[in-house]
Amino acid sequence: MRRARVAGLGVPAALGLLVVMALVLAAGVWLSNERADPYAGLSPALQAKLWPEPRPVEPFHLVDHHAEPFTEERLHGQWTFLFFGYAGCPDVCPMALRDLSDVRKILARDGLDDEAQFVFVSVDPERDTVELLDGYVTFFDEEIVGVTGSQDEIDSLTEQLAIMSVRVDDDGGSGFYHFDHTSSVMLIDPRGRVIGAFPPPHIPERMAEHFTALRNLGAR
Amino acid sequence: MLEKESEMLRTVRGVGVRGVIAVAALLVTVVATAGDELRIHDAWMPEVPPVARAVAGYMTLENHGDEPWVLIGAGSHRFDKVMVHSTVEESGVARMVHEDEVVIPPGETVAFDPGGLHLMLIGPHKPLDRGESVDIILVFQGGAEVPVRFRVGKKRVGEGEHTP
Ligand SMILES: [Cu+2]
Repeated sequence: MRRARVAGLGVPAALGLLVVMALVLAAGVWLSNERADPYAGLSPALQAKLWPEPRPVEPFHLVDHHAEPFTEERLHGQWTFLFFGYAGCPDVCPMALRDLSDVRKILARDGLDDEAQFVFVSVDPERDTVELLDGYVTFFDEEIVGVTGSQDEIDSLTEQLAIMSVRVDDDGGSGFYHFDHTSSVMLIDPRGRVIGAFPPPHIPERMAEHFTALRNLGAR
Repeated sequence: MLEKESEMLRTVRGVGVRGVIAVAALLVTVVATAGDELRIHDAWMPEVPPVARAVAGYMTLENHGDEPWVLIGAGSHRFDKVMVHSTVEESGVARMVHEDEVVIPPGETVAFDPGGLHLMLIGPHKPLDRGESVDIILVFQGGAEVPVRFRVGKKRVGEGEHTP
């Protein structure tokens, strides 16, 4: 039994949305070829991960693992690596959190860690309370920020970032459920705009390189 | 010596009657040559926060016998429930799929690794500590129940144990 969490749409509708977004992306790629490309100097591997147009993140109201407000304002003034998951996730999320922690350590080695933050947003706010996230994300890295909030506010954020999340209930009647969810790490620039998505596998060295290339582009 | 034992290959011999393998599996760690032989090694669980509601179990299964081994389930006293899952990437979405059975054909190796096949260990009864060993019973078609010792650690694909 499945229930889609993409703006309250059903699975077929959510997939339809993905198709539409893929078309929009394709159109954007075509358009961006038609004019001067600000990313021209970047490697093809990195360019492939960037959205054709940076898109500002619209207002949202969530809360971090210190119970402080986490809104779109927190996405300004530094880069943000944004990952969506849940604390009941055994495989993909712990892997991603370890990878993000490794990226942060590489940036720290290069003296760039104060230019980026690493944020884990729960797609299971019902179970992932502020207290639980406090114990969860900090286990992987004291510097990772855990974010939760109301389902509506999380939906509004996932929708604009094209994050998919579908709750799947165990057929066996155990009451157990898990989420199928987007496993890409989203990158937000210091102006609070989504600029791209890093799909797995997340190779920390490569992500840090890509970040540094983008950051140097902006610093120019 | 005990420490050494836990590092060694765990070898299971069938010799026709697969139902009585369970006890032998705990004792036999020497590589056998004939019969239905399955070796399970590199069994580990990533360290997760004490509040984690689930953890994954990874391992490598090598079938050195002449017949397929078919994993049909698993259980443990340390968890509410154990399932066999695989993570499947589809258009950027990580889906978790229940596997009714995992076949290890003769002469082949099947790896449970992060981002792919995993034992889904749900509801740990108490937090898992680094370096701790946890026994999971693997259930195979034909009735064989094979206890396997998993180490809690930081191992990743293609790497040995490493510290941060
Ligand atoms: Cu799973």
